[in-house]
Amino acid sequence: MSSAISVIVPPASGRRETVAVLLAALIVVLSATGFIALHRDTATATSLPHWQVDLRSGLNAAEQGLTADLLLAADEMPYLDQVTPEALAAEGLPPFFADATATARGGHHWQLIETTDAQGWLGQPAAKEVAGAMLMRIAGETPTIWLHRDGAASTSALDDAALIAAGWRQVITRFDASVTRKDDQH
Amino acid sequence: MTLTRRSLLAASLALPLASRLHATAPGLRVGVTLHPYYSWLANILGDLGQPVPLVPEGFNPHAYEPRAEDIRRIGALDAVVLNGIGHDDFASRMIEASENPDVAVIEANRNVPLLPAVGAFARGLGDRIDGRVVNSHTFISIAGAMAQVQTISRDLGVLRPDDAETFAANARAYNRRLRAIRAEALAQVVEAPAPSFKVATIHGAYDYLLREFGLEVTAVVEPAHGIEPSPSQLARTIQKIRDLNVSVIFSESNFPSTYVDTIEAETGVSMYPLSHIIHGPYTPEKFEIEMAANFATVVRAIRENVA
Repeated sequence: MSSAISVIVPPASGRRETVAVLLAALIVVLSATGFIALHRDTATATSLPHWQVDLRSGLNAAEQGLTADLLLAADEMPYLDQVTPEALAAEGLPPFFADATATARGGHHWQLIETTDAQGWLGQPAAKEVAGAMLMRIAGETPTIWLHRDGAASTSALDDAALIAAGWRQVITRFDASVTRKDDQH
Repeated sequence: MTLTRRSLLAASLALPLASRLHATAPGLRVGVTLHPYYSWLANILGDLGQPVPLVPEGFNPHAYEPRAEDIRRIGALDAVVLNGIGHDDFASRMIEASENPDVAVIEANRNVPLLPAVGAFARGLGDRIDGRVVNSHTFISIAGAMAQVQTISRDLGVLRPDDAETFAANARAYNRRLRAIRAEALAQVVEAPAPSFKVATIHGAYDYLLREFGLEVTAVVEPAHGIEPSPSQLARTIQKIRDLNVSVIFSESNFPSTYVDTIEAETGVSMYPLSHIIHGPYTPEKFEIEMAANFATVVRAIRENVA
């Protein structure tokens, strides 16, 4: 008499493997989420006082370009005999030199303002819709740039209080090292 | 100890050589990460030193990964000049891993008025980290170059006070030449572009350059720095370029891609290639030559498309 052996073979559904893969995927996702949560960068938002404006977010392209050129002109001024807008234009120094860029940025007319302890270069735009009035003040050796949205704005005083009272806003530039650098810059 | 005739001969030959090496001790050896910085350093240092590229010729700094032999070179440097705002993040890791981790670092962009980064990727980051993501291509502009040349020469003067005046004079002479490049190009623009003249770029590298013409970049095709768009992103960009009525598109002279041809064919907008100044041999003249070519290209684009 032959004894029959019966073996129940479950269907090859791969259920266990499926569960294992899902678990593994879940572990990976949870680990990654936990890692990211523990390594988040902290944002330190700083708000500027009302009399300052950020170059990156508060100025348009024309005003940003004017600011960069004014700061470069300030570097060159110590080497020059005269620093009137006419003399600076004769040296070919932007933004005082009248070229296509000066026109595209609003066509500013520049004048020199001098007080006992500072010098200022005031630029009033011909095209007020393109850029505001710009002022570079040099007191000591430090140049600062000021902006007035009213293109016709003028000033005879160059101290902070007078400029702020007249509606001028100081342009702030700041250096931010790359956010993905891994050194002590952060 | 006895002195043989041979040892005396060897000593007599070696001593003058040793003293000559000491007399002409090499000047400052300054590491740089990108071609423009090499050109600037070569002109600022003159005979008083030499720039040393950290990235070997032929490597694309957008995708560069430091190699052991490159890191080893930092051991013999007196300083390293960094872009520092996103184009050479690998450098800080290289310095940290080198034999010279305390080497002087010059942050060239310290005094440059930085612009915000462009592209959807950077804008997304900017929201989360308080707008600290900036456009790192300050080296593709005359104004950006001049500001960095000034900063570098001042910092080198601090490292070598005896040579500070020479560095300052070299920097000023170089900056005068750079200013002349810009002036000569702008003299060719008879009619300034109107605000309606809109430009797009393939790579987000030319905001600083185009700003020198009073132009603002309306759209950037790449979704992120150095990343090609997907087909759906490309379709959206083409539609955006049509909607915005873009006048010209500036592409990359060294990144030929088929999708650029697609954009030109689909939009019908004229394409003008600009140099990113990160390819080819490191030479002192490279920046001046390629920037003059870039300015000539922008002038041509304006003249051919300003109605």
